[in-house]
Amino acid sequence: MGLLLNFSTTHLMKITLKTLIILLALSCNSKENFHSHQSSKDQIQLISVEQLNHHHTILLDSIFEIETIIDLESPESIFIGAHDKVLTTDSAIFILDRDRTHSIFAFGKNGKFLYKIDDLGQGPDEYQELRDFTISTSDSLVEILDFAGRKILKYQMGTGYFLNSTQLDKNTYYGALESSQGYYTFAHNNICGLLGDCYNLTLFNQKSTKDTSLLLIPKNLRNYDLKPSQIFSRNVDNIYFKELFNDTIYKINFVKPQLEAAFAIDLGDQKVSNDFLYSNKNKSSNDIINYAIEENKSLEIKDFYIGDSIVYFTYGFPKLRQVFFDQKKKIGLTFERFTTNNLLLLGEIIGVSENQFVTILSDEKLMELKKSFNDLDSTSYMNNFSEFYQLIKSRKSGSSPIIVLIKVNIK
Amino acid sequence: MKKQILKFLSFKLLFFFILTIWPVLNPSTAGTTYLKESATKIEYDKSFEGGFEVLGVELPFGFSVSGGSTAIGVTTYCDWALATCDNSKNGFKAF
Repeated sequence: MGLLLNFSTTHLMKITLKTLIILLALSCNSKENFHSHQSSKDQIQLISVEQLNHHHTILLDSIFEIETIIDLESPESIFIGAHDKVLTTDSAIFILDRDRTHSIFAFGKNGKFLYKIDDLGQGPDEYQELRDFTISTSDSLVEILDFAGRKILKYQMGTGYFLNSTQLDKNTYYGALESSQGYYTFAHNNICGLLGDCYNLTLFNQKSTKDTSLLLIPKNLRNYDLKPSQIFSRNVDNIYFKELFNDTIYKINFVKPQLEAAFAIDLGDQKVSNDFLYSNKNKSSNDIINYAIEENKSLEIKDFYIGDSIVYFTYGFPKLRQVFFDQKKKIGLTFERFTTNNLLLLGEIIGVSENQFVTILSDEKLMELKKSFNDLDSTSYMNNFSEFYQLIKSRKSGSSPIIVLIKVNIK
Repeated sequence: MKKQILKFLSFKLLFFFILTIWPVLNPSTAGTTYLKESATKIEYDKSFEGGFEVLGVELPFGFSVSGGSTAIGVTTYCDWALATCDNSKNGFKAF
């Protein structure tokens, strides 16, 4: 009996040792070495916000120039609940409403409604959850990321007809999708894959199979509950990426494939220190928000859009500052508040195409403006804002938004 | 014979241990067939106000609107459309 006990204890110790070795091997599977983003220093544009000209309030009319106004058609069959992402081509505008109608709406550049993709369901040609979408101009495709179904659904860009779908690895978290020239990239929103892949970005090759993983997720930020406001930014076929709390904006080179650090944004003393961000004190959104409130510091840059010459981003906590930086002139400005006497400049920047920024005036904002002006003297209102007045005078609640394409000039 | 039984038991124990600990290594997926999300995002107040002035200067016939964005609180949410969410944490909490 004693011999059996002795034997069992020795054997159990061996088993425990084996188990520990296996667990150690599994934990080493998620490579801890940082995948470098290869960029020569002269390719990186450093933008230090503290060196830019700061205005408390700016007159938008002094930096914005309206190029095109697109009043999107509002047939009775459609209702756009939210505009979570807007992409444009030479001839069309695509709007994602992720959570309210689970649809993508396509309009011509003249505002004419073309079609909507509304395939929520559990069938093979349907998506269970519309997480993100992108467009492929070279293949004339609209591509949808179905998070729950772990697949990409492809639609003909001109008509919205469903073509086919590509199944993805079911054990990986796909937070966002972009594509360019037949290549795909996925962002994982700080969630490690079940197979030990603990990187924030994956690049897929043209055969739609995984090519490489980049940007190791820091240990304290794995499964972090705060999601980045914006993950990808698209300017025609150029795709830019930013991960949570890291204020470097990377350009994705799909062909090599690799990341190229394009912009290093330095928020200086206005940013929460890296010592806190990447420490065990920062394990959830509660930790960082409490710290940011106490210290009055910015968490990260929020939205970012990279035009051919102008870079736009926002940062700051609790007041959000807007930043415009001219890459060629190497000048920029920041401001906290704006004022304008052109109501069409009140749209939110939601995209960029070459040098044109895409702004959107939501139905909610337009109705609020219409309501606030009802009390005013209609003659002076019509005289001062005749263009705006004509656009909204017969507007009904629930209509499609107005898109305004603007050019930014920094003097 | 005894050795064989113990060897068999030890392997069963090892696999049981690995299968038990595996979901714990991935807290976001522990105990779920699919990933259940509970994400947080910061909400900003983007209100604006109108007035007959621009940059503090009153204009005789002009009308201006001014605005800005301030963080006002956080929303906890679940992104799922069809699958079951743990909605107990969902909601808005002001700062």
